[in-house]
Amino acid sequence: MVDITERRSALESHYTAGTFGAECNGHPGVMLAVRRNLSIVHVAGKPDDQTFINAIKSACGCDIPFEPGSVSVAGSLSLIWLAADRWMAVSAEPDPGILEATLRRACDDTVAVIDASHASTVLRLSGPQARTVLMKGAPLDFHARTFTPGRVATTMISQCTVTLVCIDQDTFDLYVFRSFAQHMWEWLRDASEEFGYEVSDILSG
Amino acid sequence: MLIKCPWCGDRSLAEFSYQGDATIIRPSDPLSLSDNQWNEYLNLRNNPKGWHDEIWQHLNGCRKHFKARRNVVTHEIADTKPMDGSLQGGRS
Amino acid sequence: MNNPQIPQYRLPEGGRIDRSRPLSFSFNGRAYVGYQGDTLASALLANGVHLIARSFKYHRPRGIMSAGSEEPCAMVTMRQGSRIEPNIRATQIELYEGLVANSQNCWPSVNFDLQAIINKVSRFLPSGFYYKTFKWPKFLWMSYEKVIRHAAGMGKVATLPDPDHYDHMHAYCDVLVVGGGPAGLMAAKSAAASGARVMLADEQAEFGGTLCGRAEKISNKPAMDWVARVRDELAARPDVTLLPRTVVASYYDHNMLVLNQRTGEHLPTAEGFTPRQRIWKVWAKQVVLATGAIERPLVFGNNDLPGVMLTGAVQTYISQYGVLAGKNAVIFTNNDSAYDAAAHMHDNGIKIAAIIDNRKQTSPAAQKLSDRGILIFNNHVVYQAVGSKHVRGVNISPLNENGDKLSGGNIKIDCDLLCMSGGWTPSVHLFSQARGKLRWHETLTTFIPEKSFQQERSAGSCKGVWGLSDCLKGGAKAGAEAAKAAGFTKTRALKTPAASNHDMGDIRALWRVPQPPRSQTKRFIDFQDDVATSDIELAAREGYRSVELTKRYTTLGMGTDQGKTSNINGLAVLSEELGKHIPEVGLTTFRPPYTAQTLGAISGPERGGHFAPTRRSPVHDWHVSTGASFMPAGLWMRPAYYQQPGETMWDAIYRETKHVRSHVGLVDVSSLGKIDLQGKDSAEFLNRCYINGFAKLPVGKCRYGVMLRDDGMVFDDGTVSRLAENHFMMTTTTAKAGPVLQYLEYLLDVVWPELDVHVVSATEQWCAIAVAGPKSRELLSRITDIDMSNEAFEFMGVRQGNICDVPGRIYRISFSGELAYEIGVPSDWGLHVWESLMTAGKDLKVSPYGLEAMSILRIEKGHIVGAELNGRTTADDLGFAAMISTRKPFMGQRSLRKPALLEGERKQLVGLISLDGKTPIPRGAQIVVNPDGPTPVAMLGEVTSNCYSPHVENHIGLAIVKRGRQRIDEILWATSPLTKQRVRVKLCSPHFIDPQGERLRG
Ligand SMILES: [Zn+2]
Repeated sequence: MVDITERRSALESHYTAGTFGAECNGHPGVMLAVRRNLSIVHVAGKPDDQTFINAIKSACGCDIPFEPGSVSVAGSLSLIWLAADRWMAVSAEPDPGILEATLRRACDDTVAVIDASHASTVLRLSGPQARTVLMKGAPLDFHARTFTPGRVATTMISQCTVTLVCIDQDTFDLYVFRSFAQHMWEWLRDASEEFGYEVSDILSG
Repeated sequence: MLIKCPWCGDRSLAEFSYQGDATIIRPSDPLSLSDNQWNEYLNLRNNPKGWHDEIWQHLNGCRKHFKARRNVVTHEIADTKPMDGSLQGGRS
Repeated sequence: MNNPQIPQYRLPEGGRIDRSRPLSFSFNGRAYVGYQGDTLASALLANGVHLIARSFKYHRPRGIMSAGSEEPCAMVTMRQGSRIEPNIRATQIELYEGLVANSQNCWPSVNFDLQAIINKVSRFLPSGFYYKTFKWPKFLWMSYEKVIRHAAGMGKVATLPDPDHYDHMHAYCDVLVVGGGPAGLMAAKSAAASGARVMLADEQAEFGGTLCGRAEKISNKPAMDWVARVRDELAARPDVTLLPRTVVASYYDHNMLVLNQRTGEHLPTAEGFTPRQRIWKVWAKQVVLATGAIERPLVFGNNDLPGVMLTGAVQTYISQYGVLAGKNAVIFTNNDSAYDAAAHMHDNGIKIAAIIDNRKQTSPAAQKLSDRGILIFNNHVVYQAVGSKHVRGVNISPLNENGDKLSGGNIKIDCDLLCMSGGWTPSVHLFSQARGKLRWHETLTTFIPEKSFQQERSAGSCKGVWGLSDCLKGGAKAGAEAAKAAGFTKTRALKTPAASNHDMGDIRALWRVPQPPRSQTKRFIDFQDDVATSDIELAAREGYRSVELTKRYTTLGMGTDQGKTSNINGLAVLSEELGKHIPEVGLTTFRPPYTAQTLGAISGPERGGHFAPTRRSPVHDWHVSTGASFMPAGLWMRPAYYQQPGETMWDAIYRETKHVRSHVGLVDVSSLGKIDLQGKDSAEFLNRCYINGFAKLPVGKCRYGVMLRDDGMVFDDGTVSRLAENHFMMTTTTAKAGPVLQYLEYLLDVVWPELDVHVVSATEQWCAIAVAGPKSRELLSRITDIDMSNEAFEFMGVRQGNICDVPGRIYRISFSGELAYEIGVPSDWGLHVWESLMTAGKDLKVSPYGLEAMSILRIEKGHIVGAELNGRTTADDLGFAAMISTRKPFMGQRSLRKPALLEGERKQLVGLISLDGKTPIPRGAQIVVNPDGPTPVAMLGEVTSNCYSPHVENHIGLAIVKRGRQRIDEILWATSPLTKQRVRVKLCSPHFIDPQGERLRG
């Protein structure tokens, strides 16, 4: 038997922890990491359907974030706005079947519940120059007063679709389609070079 | 260009995909149409100088389609609305 | 350096250079020394080097005319080897240690250039020379072109890959200020004081604009002290971004501007981690244009000689670089700005031999100089500069009453520097790119901004304001207005410090200096493109009336300087020739970019392996480790074949093909598009999308479907599996994965919003592995708990269960025509499942196969791909007529009744087989009855797919042929005239293997 929580990240064989790029005397401008073993489930439903709203609230423990670009958090679970009728539930639960089943049970079949845990590679970008690195890639306004913790935006970096979540002032999660992960990883490393950057160990969850 | 997605707000043109003329409605019963009427729907488009109602998709964003009233001479965008909204302004 | 042979032109003190940091550099192989803070131009002038380049067309000697980005003459080739870069303005190159630059457009040297002979025969090289001369005979054009290409052109480009890296940046701001001179600094200061997010860009290394090169005072202190204070204040604000060395190149719609920051150009090599250049895309709510003005040359004989310079530039060389451009100057002007300059030069030790002013009266500004004993000639002109490689003197003459002829009585004055000032042209390039409307200003003799169409305003001399105090005030006002318009409503213009306010006085327009009778001396207008007055006069005589056409005919303003110094002069001369008022003739269009941009900067990080993203499947690493050869499929990198030791490429491909038909093979099909559909109207939606029905598809089954565009042409094909009553999984071809999803979203958002369906791409979630061949069932039954028996799991069934201990799905579908299954497992487990299959199937001789074998297998089976789904084929053309439902509406249905789709001559899918059993069928060949028949040969169709089939043991293909299905067994030709290949082919059914489908159902 294999342990099904032992999931192989798209970056597994391209990942080397350490400090790279310009000399930074122990103060890298950017920190990079990959977050592995997350459960990610897409939920699509009608925003005016009270049954749906209640079902999600009971399953996730938080309200659906209706405001475009916002995120609701309940403990280790985040409910992330993707579109007017679509959200992404993310938790650190390593067996994605559990989150999917919970949501599936809570909702009737006018609601789509789709496991996408393996569809995205989640990269964590942090450090004092993290916003500058994002500015290199995406045509979005990353000013600290505009893109604040708890905001999400889907945009393009280096010709790839990326969903960006601002975790705190200097920390961001990038949801990248799995097949693009290596390209995005290389791009992030190139863009971080001039500031000096550190690749930390793979984050489990 | 910056295009205002009705949900995501002002975003770069690079995130969007043009999806055609918003004034063309697909006939609900195509089989009842004559060849000419079908041809009109399928192939014939006006090419107005000035304001034009268009469908855009926020392809590399929330992926929703919406309507935009754009001046094709100046690229000014007077209004954007969800598909069931009605566009305001622009025409002088 | 105190070699008496070399005249020293560096002042002992002053300027914004650091004399404690000498830098050695090389120009044309000779070593020189300059200082930190120099440009290549200032360092060369300090060393007395004026001859920099040979001109584009006539190979005339050229020197340094200006001190900025308007420079049309001093173009050099920078750096060496892979970093070599031609056509760089010496006036913009910041000196660094070890800099290497060379002259271009000359051979063997700039001092002795053989092609300078062209200058002597230049009267045979008029405007449109190429158009007129190399027209006939036609067959010689190819030879002419080679000669012309060699003689023409400017510099040589690098042939090696560029080792440097380039960067892109995106930014948003409330106010972008373009230009860091007095108006721009004041605008930035005012806007920033309101709390607005401000960006300030200037093309020079140092802020200050004109102030860097003048002896101006602000608040009674050196103006540069004020500049430093404002710069430091701005830098201290967190919401201000200062961008020196940054040219604002382009102004696009919705206030999007593109900037180029020279991040590493001033460093010996941009190696390490600093990008060489960085492109900024800036979305600004408001823009302040403070782009300054450019001095105009005067148009007299030999005005292109080295040592003939713009007056303001000579001042800049003194103030900014402590360099004297000469020791004994003549100044030729039509306005007052040259008098400030003359005083400045005189104060710094340049002897002013004379000031030649075409205006009749001595202006108050001139009087001051006259009072200092400087010789001034009013109503006189310099009609010719004298010298061969450097100016040695000038010929001057009084003007007649009308000012259009010389009135005799020449005087020759010796000099080693000739300064000219023909007035100033506001830099309205960005304003015009932003569609702003210009107005001709009669007294300033130039165009100035009149009406804006974007969120921008001009301030300072780019608006025709000359006095320093007025520029500061205008900047403060524009900055405040911009901040206000950006939403900072309480903003007020800041107070401005005390400063001088000299203007240009009255200008006496003088567009062409009259010449003595029968003079052949050239008067240049566009120095970079070697366009002289005679070229424009000729164009006018030949009937050119439009300024746009004259520009292209004469090449006026078409060089890399975009005519910064020549536009107005050229336009004015054309107007005079046409007897029209200047604004009637109009100005040519200003187009981006303001200065030339390198391809490296434009492509930025998107080059090499990152030119486009590469998509990799979850099994990619395994393919790499087993030595697969890859081929691109869209953005995906997919294994083409797995070559074994001793095999050729074709050996490997045919081995893999045969192995699938005899044993079992694995192919990675993760790139195929997968779309998840949920919602209670999903079945109805699929019914409307496909030509065949899906409402009655049972749960646990899949079905092949064909999708049309609304014009009746086939859009894509694939399978749909029903996983639950309201849950389907659709597959698409690799190429159409994106477009099909987008199309479904369009239908749901726009056409049928009432349907309850949600579509989500599932391509990335699933690793897909096709297991094909007679042993595939046996292999799968070893690794899954799903009952694989033919009875329990029939053809076109789908099952969910454990596969290699992970949850997954198995679809019993076949692309190869063999007994086959497709496994879907979540991607993170894809590699684990692939490796487990390889291990579990060892005794069955399981083997991977690539796209090449897959392609042969599907051609043998007659399955269509992108080549057949080419947007011009209908369902009937491809043999799917029987699938078309008559009991429900679907997309494209109405178009099937269009007369063009009903006529009997349509091309239909058929198979081809090489008649002689050995000649390959050429790719893309035309199907004809007789390739040697009278031309044009009637074409019946074309080959869409071709291969050698190990199964048929012959060359086979698929083709789209007129009435093809009625031509089965006909013998025709497949001919490819371009590759000179042809073969006789027999038309047959496209199913070369198992037409009854017994293998895949067995
Ligand atoms: Zn959007």
